[in-house]
Parts: sequence; structure tokens; C-alpha cells
Amino acid sequence: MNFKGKVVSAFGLASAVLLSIAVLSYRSILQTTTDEDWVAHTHFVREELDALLADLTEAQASERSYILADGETYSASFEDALARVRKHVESVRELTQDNPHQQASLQKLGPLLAAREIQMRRAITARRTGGLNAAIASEGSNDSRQTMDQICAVIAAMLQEEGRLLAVRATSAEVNSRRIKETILFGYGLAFVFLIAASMTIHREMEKRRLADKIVARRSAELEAANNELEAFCYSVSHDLRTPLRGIDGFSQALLEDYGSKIDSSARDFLQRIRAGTQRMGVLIDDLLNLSRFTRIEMQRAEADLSEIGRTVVAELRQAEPQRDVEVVIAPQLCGEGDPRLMRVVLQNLLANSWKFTSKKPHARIEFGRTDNNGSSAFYVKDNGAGFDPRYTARLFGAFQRLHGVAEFPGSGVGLAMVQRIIQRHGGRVWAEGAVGEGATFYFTL
Amino acid sequence: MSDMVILLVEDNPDDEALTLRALKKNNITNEVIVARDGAEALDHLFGTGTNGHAIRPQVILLDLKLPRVDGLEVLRRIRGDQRTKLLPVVILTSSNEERDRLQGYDIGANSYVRKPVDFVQFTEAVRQLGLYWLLLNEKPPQAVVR
Repeated sequence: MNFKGKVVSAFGLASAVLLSIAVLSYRSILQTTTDEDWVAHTHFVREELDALLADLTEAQASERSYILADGETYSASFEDALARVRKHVESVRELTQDNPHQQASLQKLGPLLAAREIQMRRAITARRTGGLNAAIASEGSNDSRQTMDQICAVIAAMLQEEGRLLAVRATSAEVNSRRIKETILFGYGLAFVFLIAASMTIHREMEKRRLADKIVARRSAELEAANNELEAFCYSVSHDLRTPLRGIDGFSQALLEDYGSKIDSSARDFLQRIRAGTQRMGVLIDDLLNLSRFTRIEMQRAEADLSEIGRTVVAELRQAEPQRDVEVVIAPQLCGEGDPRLMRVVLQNLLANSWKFTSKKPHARIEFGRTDNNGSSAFYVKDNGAGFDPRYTARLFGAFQRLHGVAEFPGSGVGLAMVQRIIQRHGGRVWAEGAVGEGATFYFTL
Repeated sequence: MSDMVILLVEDNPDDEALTLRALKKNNITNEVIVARDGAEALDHLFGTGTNGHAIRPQVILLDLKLPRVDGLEVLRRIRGDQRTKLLPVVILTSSNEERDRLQGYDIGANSYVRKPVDFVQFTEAVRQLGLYWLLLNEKPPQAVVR
């Protein structure tokens, strides 16, 4: 996985974990609240059941007081207690609606309570009509005692059921709260691990980039130093190599002028050759410097009017050799993205080459235009001059490489090397087609 | 004709000899004072040399690459001094580096001529320089060149 993938997945996992914790915590908190509600609910049911039993006992006490004391006063409190008992039964029924077990117990409790009420009322009626003994006989019957025992048993069972529910709910709440704690602890731990992994990855990457930056900076500095050195070297070449040449040429000329009459023609020819050699050396130095200069020069890209540049170059060529009759055809509106100064150097070299290599043709023709080259357009300079042997095409663009003798066509062999470097700096391509005696065509793209 | 002196600042004896020869060939007979480095040139101009006499040449032919004080620095001092700032200075050098040309004009050279290797061309260049700076060109009024 790459750097970005690693960091994104680490942060993504950490975020996912934290989000999961948030969701789980929220749900657990809801669950805990529900559990607590249920615990409170259970307590409430138990209180109601306790109160039910207490009120039933109170009703029974009122009834018995009535029997013993024959007092109408107890009748009211008996009825009150019974009413409260009914209310408690209803309350418990509602509270335990969701619990079939308790509902079943209530089903049993209802008839028992009704039966007990009838028994108590029967005893009261007996007291009123048959006297104390009849009432005692009624109240003390096995029926009454059994009914009361059964009621107590049912309520005890219901209390036990609620107790069981309380235990279950308390345990559930406890388990739940423990689970929250575990989830949060584990989740945070996991998120922390992911974040540590992410920060380690970032740290490593930063370290790597810092190192890379350092290397780039060092290389740039080295390159600049090398460039400066090259520039200093070129400056020396330009100045120091030319000075002695001027001396050689100058004093050869002085010899010719001052002593020309005292030496024979062969000696004069030697001196002329010395002069020709130094001048040629001067041209070579200049070409070498230009080659280096146009390789180093800072490019300024613009829309260059190549047709116009071509016309200017041809005008210069015509001016230098007005005696020559050359037909030059330049296509109109040839425009290209490039540094106009460098484009001038390119066209200067290509057109001057054509000019030079057509010098021995009676009907010299040079053409500068644009053609289609596998879908993209290429500029070309075509002539009907001396051409070249296609076997040596590869050598055409090498510096100081020449396919013709100096005596045949003069030149230093730097021109096409310069053209190639300039075109390459523009991101283009240059190539040539030709045959001996049939002219040459040079193509370039920008 | 002390005010028609030429100051030639040139460290190379061959170039010195060739320049003098070219001047002579072109019948330029003005007195030529030769300074072999930048410091010597400044001595001549400001009278700080052994003879203590400051000269005001008609034109200064200045090479750039010189021992001790280089040509551009000499030009800078000439332009920086009230007494010499209007003197015509022609840079005559082997270098055709753009940087040198630009700096030379920037500091205030009146002209920049590259010495050709071909002595015939060189002689022609010296002839044109002499014609222009010694005959055609009018010096600034003395009142200004204090």
C-alpha cells in the first residue's frame, strides 16, 4: 500500500472504531436506563403487593372487631380497606400486564379475594342476625382460614416472582454496564493503536521526504556549481584562446605586408595557410561557444513566427552572397511554440546549410514548410543540394561531425548539433532524409 | 596635441603591438599611452602615478580582462569621478559574452567592439574607431570636464 493509502486507512479505521464506540455507548446507556426503569418497576409492584396484603389484613381486622364489639363504626373502615384492596389489585394487574406468569397468579387471586370478601360479609350478616356465636362459627370455619392461606400463598409467589425478576434485571444492568466499560476501553485502545500507526507512517514519510529534499538540494547545488564552472570555462575559452590566435594571424599578416617582397611565393603561401588556419580556429571556438551558450540559455517560450524568421534569415544569406541565384519558397503563417531567439538559430543553421550545399547546383531550390508526420505536424527545410549518404544519418547531428570535406563545403560541424540541442530543449525531435546528389530534407517538431 | 591622446589599456604585448600597428597603418598618428593593467590606467587618468600627471585622452580603448583592476572596474571608477565621467570609453575585448556586453553598457561604455581574430578585420575595426572617435566625434566642453 502506498503512503496515502496507509494513512487514509489508519485514520479511517480509527474513525470507524470511535464511531462504533459512540453508537454502542449510546445504545448501552439507553439499555441501562431501561434496566433501571425495570428495577424501579419491580420495586413498585412489590410495594403494591405488600400494600394489598396489608389492606386485606386491615379489612379482616375491621370485620373481626365488628363481630366482637358489634360496632357499626368498624363497618366504614372495612369497606375502605376492601376498596383499597381492589385498587391495589387493579394497579398490580396494570403493572404486570407484560408478565403472563403474574397475570396467571392474578387470575387465581381475583376469585380468592372475592371468596374471602363473601366469607367476611357472611360473618358480619351472621353477627347481625344470629348473634356472636353464629358469627364466630362462620368466621372460624375452615373455609375462611383456607381462603386466607391461599391468598397469602399466591401473593407470596407473586412477590417471589418479582424478586426473581429484580435479580435478573439487576444482573442485566450490571452486565450491560460492564460491557460498556469493556467496549469503551477496548475501542479506545484500538483507535489509539490505529492513530499511532498513522502517525508513525506520516513520520516515516516526512523523514523520507526530508531526506529526498536534502538530496535534491545537494544535487541542485552541485548542478549549479557545475554550471558556474562551465560558464567560467567558456568565458576563459572565449577570451584566452582567441587572444593568441589574433597574435598568430596578425603577425603573419605583418610578415606578408612588411616582408612579402623579400620572400618567395611558397613562403607567402605558407603564411596564408597559417592565417587561414588561425581564422578557422577562431570560427571553431565561436561555434563551440555558441553550442554551449544555446544549450545553457534560459528559454523564453512564445508564439514564434517561423515564416518571418525564415524570410529574415534568407534575406541575410542573399545579402552575403548576392551573386547566387537561389529559389527560396517559404510557406506562409508557419507558427510554433518556442523561444524566438533559439528558433532563429535553428532556421539560421538549417537554411544556411541548404544555401551552402546547393552552391554547386545550377538551379538551387530551398523550401521551408510544414508537413503531416503521422498525425502531428512537422516543419521541414528541403533542398536539392549535395544531399548525404543515408548510412551516415546518425552522424549528422553529432558535434564536429562532418560528412563533407572542408575544401568541398566549409563548416565546423557544429550547426546541426546546435539545432538538435535546441529542438530537444523544446521537447521536439529532429531528423533528416536524403541521398547523395539528390538533396536533403531536415524535419523538426516543437 | 596633448588633448588628442589615446589611452590604450591592454595587458597582452601582442595585442598592444597589433593595435599600435593597426593605428599606424591607418595613419592615426596621435600619441598613444599604453597602460598594461587597470591600476596603471587609473594612475594615468587621476595623476596618481609616478609622473603625477593626469591625462585627458580623446578616447580610451579598454580591454576587459586585465591584471590587478579589471576593465569593468576601471570603467566604473571613470564614470564615478567628476573629472573623468564624460570621457569616451570604447571597450575593445576578445569576449563577446552577453554578460560582459550588458555590464559594459550598463556601467556606461560608449561603445563595445569585439577584437576579430582576422588581422585584416581588426585593422578595419581600428580604422573605423579612429575615424569616429578622433575625427568625427566632438569632445564634451572642457568646462564640464573639470
